[in-house]
Amino acid sequence: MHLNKAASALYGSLATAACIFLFSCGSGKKDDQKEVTSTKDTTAPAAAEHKGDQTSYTLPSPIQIASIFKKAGLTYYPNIGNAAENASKYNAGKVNESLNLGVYSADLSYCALNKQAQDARNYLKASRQMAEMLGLGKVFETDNLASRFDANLSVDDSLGPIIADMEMQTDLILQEREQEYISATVFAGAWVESMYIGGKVFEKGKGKNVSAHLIEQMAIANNIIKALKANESKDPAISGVASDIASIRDLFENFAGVKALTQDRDEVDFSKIAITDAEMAGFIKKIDEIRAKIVKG
Amino acid sequence: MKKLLTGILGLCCLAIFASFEGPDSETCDTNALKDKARKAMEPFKFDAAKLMKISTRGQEYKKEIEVPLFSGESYRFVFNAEALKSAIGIEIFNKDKDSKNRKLLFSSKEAGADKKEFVWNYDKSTKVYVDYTIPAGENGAFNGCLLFMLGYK
Repeated sequence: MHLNKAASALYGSLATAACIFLFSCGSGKKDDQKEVTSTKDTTAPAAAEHKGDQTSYTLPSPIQIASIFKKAGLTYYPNIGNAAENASKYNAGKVNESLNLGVYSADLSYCALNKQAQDARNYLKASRQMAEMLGLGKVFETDNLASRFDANLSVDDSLGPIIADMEMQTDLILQEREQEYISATVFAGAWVESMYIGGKVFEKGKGKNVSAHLIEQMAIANNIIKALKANESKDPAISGVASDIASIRDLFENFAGVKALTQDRDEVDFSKIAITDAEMAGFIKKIDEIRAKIVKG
Repeated sequence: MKKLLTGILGLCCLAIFASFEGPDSETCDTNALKDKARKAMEPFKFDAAKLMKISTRGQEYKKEIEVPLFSGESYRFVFNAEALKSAIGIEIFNKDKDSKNRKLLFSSKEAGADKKEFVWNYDKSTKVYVDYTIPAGENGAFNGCLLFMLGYK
């Protein structure tokens, strides 16, 4: 009996010590959002974790896509992008919100690279609103990004690096949180909006060189689809987005000029693909259709 | 009885504590890695970043990242390996790991095995494939983080 009491007392002491140690260790790290606490491979689909040979993908930032189009002569037209005031209507879940964060990121990049300060400010506000809904408000607080943006609105070529910083912060926070499915849907939204803007400017006849870059962007359609499909289990709405991007890819791959160049080849130089005017019109129409689905909310 | 319950609670606490031991307790300061990589990136502009958290397995294995590049752009690849406990191999190829006759474009071994930061510039519009070779080690042991940042100009 004495032995039981002694053992019980010993367990009690160990318990107290262990609990104190456990919680004191935990509290030191908990508030430090900088640190990564998981050992999982953030770039790989979870299901393939132990196969070890799976390939993951990088997707270009919206600001880089905007920069490529800008270099190709993409001119600025007001009101091509999604209206900033629509931000409040996107609340149908994380996929809907992240797609439209991507849309606004692309619109913001388009305005900023074309030095449209007021429109850029409106899109920054819309992007922030969407980011906060996704729990990414911290992005705008880090390194005073939002105030740096305001301070540089009238300074030529200074908004691009600030937007790039925002995109980098967003990428890394989502990777730390192992929420790469949000990264994939944000990128899908940004990519569709970038293609939409490129298509609209091309239709207005002031972006002849843009068509080649629209085609070149198709090189990453499969990567977007794979990134989305790898995360289908995270949210049932993701498979619908993957199907929409796949419908753009399938249409494109059935164009005669594309078939001729891609048949029986592992590596395709997308910059050498040419499509007819009718095909380009159909391609842009398909992008419009998918973009309309995203922005309607 | 009260002490017995305390004892059981204590054992539960110990079990929870034990579960926090090992790989999952390891951390990386992502912001420090990002800031260093960003300095190495200048004057290139940020395009994309991949944070890879590396654990060893009983045998050597590879991870591959496909990187699409576009015409008219010059690219810089920055790898910061300061948060890795032991070195891993970093190689860049023109084709994926399943392709025959792929060409090695960059190797961390050639750049200096003791280096913790690798910078490589490239200006062709094509896809490239970044391969990490993680040497064999204790199965599931956390080896740290590797940050890959891509920039363009």
